[in-house]
Amino acid sequence: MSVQYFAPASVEEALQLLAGNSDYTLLAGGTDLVPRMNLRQIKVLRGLVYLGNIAEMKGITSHNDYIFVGALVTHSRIAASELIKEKAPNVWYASYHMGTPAIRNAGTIGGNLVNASPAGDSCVALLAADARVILKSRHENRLVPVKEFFVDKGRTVLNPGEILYGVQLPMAGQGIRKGSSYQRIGLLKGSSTAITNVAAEVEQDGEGVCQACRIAVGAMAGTPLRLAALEEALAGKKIDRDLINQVVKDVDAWINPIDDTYATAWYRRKVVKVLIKRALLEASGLEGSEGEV
Amino acid sequence: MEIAFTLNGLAVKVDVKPADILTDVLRQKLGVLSVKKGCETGDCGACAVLVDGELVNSCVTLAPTVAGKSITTVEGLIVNGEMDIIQRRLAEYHGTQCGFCTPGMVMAIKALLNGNPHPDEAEIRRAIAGNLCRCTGYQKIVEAVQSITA
Amino acid sequence: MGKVIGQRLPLYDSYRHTTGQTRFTDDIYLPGMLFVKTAKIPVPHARILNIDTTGAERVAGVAAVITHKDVPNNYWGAFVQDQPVLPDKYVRFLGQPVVAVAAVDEDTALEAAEKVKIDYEELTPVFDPEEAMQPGAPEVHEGGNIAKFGGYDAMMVRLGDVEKGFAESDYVIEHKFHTAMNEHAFLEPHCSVAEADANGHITIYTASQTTSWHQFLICGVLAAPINTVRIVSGPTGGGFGGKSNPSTEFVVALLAKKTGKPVKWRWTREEEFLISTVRSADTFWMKTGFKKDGTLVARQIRYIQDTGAYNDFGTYGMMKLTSQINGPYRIPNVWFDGYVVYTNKQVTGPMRGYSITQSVSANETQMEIIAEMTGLDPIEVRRKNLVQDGDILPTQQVLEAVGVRETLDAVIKASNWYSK
Ligand SMILES: Cc1cc2nc3c(=O)[nH]c(=O)nc-3n(C[C@H](O)[C@H](O)[C@H](O)COP(=O)(O)OP(=O)(O)OC[C@H]3O[C@@H](n4cnc5c(N)ncnc54)[C@H](O)[C@@H]3O)c2cc1C
Ligand code: FES
Ligand code: FES
Repeated sequence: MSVQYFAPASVEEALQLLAGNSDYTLLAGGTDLVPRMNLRQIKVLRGLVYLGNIAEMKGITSHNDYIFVGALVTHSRIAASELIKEKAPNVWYASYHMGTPAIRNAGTIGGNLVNASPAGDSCVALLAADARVILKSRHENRLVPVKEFFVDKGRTVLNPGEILYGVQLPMAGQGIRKGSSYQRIGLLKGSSTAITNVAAEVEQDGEGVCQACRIAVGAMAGTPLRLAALEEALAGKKIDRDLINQVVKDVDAWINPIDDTYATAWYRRKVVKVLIKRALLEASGLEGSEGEV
Repeated sequence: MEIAFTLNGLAVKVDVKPADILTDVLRQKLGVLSVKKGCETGDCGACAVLVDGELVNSCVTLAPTVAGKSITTVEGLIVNGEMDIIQRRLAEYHGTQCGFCTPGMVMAIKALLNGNPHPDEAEIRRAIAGNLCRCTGYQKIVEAVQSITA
Repeated sequence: MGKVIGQRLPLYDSYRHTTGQTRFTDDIYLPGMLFVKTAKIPVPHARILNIDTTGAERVAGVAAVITHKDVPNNYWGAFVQDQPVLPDKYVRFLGQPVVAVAAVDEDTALEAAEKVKIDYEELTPVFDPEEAMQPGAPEVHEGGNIAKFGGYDAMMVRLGDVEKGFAESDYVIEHKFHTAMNEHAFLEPHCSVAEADANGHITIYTASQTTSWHQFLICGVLAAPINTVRIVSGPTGGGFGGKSNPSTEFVVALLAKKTGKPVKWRWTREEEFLISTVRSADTFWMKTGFKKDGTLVARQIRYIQDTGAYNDFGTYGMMKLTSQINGPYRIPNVWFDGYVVYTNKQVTGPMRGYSITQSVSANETQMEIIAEMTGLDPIEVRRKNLVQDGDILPTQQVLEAVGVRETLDAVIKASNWYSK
């Protein structure tokens, strides 16, 4: 198999290249792609387009009502960002706790999204953050809510010839108290993909009434999932323990956990309820987070 | 294709195929046999090296992507015949048994201490979380690092 | 403190480890070396109908392709010679290599291995040893799924009169235990390199835990006198029992002989999990009778060890197990029946505390239950029943120089047990 290799220095150059070769494979940190190559799971590889030299996709910048995170920003960079830690704690937590040091140093937020694993850590955090992805092709820029980005396991709305340029994290409006919580469980403390993960964001007014809330879960379907029914059950109400216990009871109807070598669907169904409950308690300020490194 | 990079302080040029992993290029073309293959899926850390000072698993790094960068392996930590203190203490504290995980482990510790000369125990454990060791049980490795940083 | 005693001394090879100078088997690269990959079929149980290697042989860069026909003595085993180096009639577990290819590099060997055509008839597999013991179960081996002990189905051990013992007991408890299969997961995957000299004598570099044993078995398979096979055991990147039997060595030796070139076979991590030996998953019923004061009186065990597709060390494992069925406790009446059962799974073999850990976990679980039922302190129940010099084990071994009491006392002291 003879493979072409390109390392464009700009988005323009990369898009130009893809315009004529939309079947070329994009390479960022390689932590999802290369293991699959080594396991001989990639049957067709015509060209590799390494994105790592494109500086403009490596930035984290603050704007009026959103933060921009370039698709090539690594999990380590996010884990080291005070801005993200303060303004988008779930996105920070997901990167800080995923994988291992070497994986975080190479793996990117963009790669995590496009890889579209059902329990991708950034995927789940970004869903609950109501984030938008910027998709670029030669002739068009698209702004797509993360909620609409995933199609199925490993599949997204990204078209051939398109590049995921970056992510916009919207910031809460004035006077809104936004709480958040990220919960995950894995086989090992380090190194292990989540068995399931939960991200919750709860926006409350001064009286503790829920103005908006978003709950995302991993491994509960072919893609990371928003639990809209639960969100609706909380919206407009004053959140307390009873209400949380109540809505968590109804989770079963909305999930269809995956069954794989990491855990059974049976186990995931049990454990996700515990995590959702913890996440809602923490995000709504009823309980503090458990200290952890 | 030919790529050039710095290996343990020396400029090298080597002919690679686009889909070659860095582990194979280091081992088979450049004779750096300390870089081990334990899994080839990024899970074990036996192949870990520093790329521009950052810990990276060379088995999930395609060789052409390191063009122009600087790579350090355990061989590069020996300066004028003197071992790095990490190499001495791991040996002295029995932080190595069979030795297969050890080069990767040394590099993970090097990456930690470069950025954080006084890590606490939790930080040490977090820094080596991607380096599996089936022999030592990690405790002696942690003690070896603590002996350096205390 | 002296120069040595009380000092922390580095292991003799540890500086070589930390500086990256230790050369493991995979670090050996010899001029002209060939690399091995194998052809397999995607099912765990099948009858082989035909093997066609012509496609593989045509791939440029392939030096040799071997099947069972190239193996002088294809069947080997420690106790029962039931395991083929390369199967001729049946595939008995998923991933079992059927054909081996040696080529100039791994990619070429893999490409060629994919071109081997194996026609097979899929057979019903059996995975559960209890099921495998039933009449009419799919046969893993012709003649039945239960390995024999001198003509008997079970390894039997009897001490005293177990029925009388249960009758004399104040309480009798019985539990069914099931333990899980374990993979050693040493960091260094299996690897060996073989080269033939001008006389056809073979040198095999490998990470063996049992060098002479390897030599003995390999000579048998190659039908070669012992002075013509040299084994060089390099450093072992973790063994934990899993490098006790030959794995890659037969094939590299055969291919080196056939090609006259050095040959390396390195397993991937995937192959490690699929085809290397594992600790067996065991199922057993343990019934124990004891007095109100915690004294153990009788024990009955029916034990099923899932040996996987081949016997390997299974028979030995069962014999070893019987020495430990009481743990460190005196039980005067014991009845034990142990079965070694074939299933369509990867072969089981030694692993840290071979065969013993399974029954120890059951034994100590019951000791905890006995402590609860009698209201005694868990340490005291154990202490009361500890073996001592002159006691007889179920295997008729008479004990001497027993130090378990002192050991227990030392552990209690060191761990500060009673202030926890
Ligand atoms: C040992 C190990 C542990 C891991 N642990 C976790 C974990 O805990 N949680 C978790 O979520 N993940 C985990 N992962 C998976 C992986 O590390 C992450 O998904 C990572 O974020 C992928 O990013 P990458 O840059 O390495 O992607 P790559 O492998 O470079 O790319 C992944 C896919 O995305 C495409 N792609 C990449 N960038 C772009 C872009 N900008 N535009 C369009 N397409 C693009 C590629 O073509 C490829 O299909 C783990 C992986 C390993 C090997
Ligand atoms: S060999 Fe690279 S991480 Fe295991
Ligand atoms: S010393 Fe053997 S794996 Fe770490």
